[in-house]
Amino acid sequence: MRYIVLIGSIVLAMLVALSIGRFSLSLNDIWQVFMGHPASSIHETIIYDIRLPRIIAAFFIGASLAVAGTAFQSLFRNPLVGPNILGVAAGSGFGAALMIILFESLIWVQFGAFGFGLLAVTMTYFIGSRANKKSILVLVLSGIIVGAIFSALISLIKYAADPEDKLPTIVYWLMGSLSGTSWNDLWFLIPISFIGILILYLLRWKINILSTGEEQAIFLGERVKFLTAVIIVSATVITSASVATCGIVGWVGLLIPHIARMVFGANHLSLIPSSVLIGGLYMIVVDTVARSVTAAEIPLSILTALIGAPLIGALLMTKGKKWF
Amino acid sequence: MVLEVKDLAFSFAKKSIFNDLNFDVKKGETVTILGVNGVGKSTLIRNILGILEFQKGEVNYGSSSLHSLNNKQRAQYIGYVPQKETNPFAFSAGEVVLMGRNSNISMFSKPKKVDMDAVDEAMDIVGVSHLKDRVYNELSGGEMQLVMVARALCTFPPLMIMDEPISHLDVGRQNQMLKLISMLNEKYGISVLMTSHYPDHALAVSNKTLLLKGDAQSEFGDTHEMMHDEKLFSLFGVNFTSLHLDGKKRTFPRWHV
Repeated sequence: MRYIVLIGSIVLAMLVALSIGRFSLSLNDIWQVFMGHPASSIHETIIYDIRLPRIIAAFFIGASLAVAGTAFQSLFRNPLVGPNILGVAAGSGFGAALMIILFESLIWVQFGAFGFGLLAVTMTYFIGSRANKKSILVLVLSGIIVGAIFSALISLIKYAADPEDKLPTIVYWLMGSLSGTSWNDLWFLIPISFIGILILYLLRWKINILSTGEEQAIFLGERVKFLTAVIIVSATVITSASVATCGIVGWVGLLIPHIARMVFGANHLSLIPSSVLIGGLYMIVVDTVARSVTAAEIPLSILTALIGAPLIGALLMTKGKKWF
Repeated sequence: MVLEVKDLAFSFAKKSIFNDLNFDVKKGETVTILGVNGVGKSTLIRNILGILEFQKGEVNYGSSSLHSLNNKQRAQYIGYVPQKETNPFAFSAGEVVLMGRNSNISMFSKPKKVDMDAVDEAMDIVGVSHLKDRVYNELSGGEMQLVMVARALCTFPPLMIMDEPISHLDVGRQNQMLKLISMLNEKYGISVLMTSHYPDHALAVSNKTLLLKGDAQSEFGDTHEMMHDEKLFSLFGVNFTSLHLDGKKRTFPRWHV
């Protein structure tokens, strides 16, 4: 029942997102486009080339960030970590900034962001396992270290970048946006995101076991190291692909798992699929707000932080005693 | 033979914790490990479970060596009841027990009806069915411990290892746990290895007792022989007195207050 409400809300949000914007379309216009005889070719262009790819991207990004956040929170047994805990965002941001100053064309930005996101987490994993293979806390600390290094490198690039031309591009990219999302972006995002989410979905029972902690999971008969690695890789890859598509968007992967847990409970059998759906829904709504409330687009990270941070604050005030 | 520990030696930070330690657990038997705080009761359990690596000796589960089994096979052989276990997330007690079935659930799979039925049966045996839908983290310490026993029981393994199963329980629940252990032995043929601080609990349920005396010394034998007043005095530094009650031997510390 809760799933039906959720899927219904997603369909509704998609329809609303298709219709509103600088050029508003009625439900009838949308229907005509999907039926293959649009009233005007502009309608077709707006739906197929502009709004639809953007909505699909928003769904997959929201779903990826939310499910990665859920997986990381369980793996680290910490309700306050997000998908960027191992340094993905800073690495991706650096990769994107580097590509922006190195090349005139922006086609490399996505690949640079994706590659450096993965590189950052690999570094985190390397430092963590060199220090102490068994401690997941050391891994988090390594993530902070790697994140700090890449953040400093981002600042260095900003400092060195041409303030007339490159700097605004970098700053705008880092704030996150889905404007100009094309089908080409989707061919990159969807396969990666889909496979990563599918793996986490299939492992949803095992994530329950890992959330009891490393030693308990061993007593319960689990190959903990192998599973942990599979989950970290899946969650990292989908986070990195998301950041590469829309820039750095915070708070989604931190907030959505809590909302999903409040509605569906702690059991990952339902928590993983509900995180996917709620995350996707949330991102469609946020992106629609971002492009339609003011004449200029509002960067996504501003909205997600303005919505997410106060909500987490409210959650902390009601549930904080349980967490600390 | 369900569990056999032969010539075990373990040292930590150059200090010898166990040396030439020998004992075994037979089918349907309970063995208690007795010793003062910090003598290494939990360490011994961690050696047996394969979490800590001992330097010398053998640990055999039935006819298989500990090292020849993977985590899954080990979990199917031993149900482990930890001392205290919390989870940052609000799982229900039923979900926590269900996790005990994990060794029967393959990587990309999820629990099936047979697993749910085993959970109901185990919770019923332990007497915690009424807690099934309660949030585990909000249970009392004693209730949590009983739920952990149900989690370890729900695969119906040949051996259950319990780390101080009775320490956080009120007197009524102490009785419930002792009754449960002897029922596991007699009705289900499940062997139990437990640690305890109370010689009287060892007398109530265990056939054999392993005394950990410190300085890597140990002694293993029939519980009635091990519960000798002098042996207990040298173990705890407190005099014990024994008496017969309801046809059973009991032993109590004499407080020097």
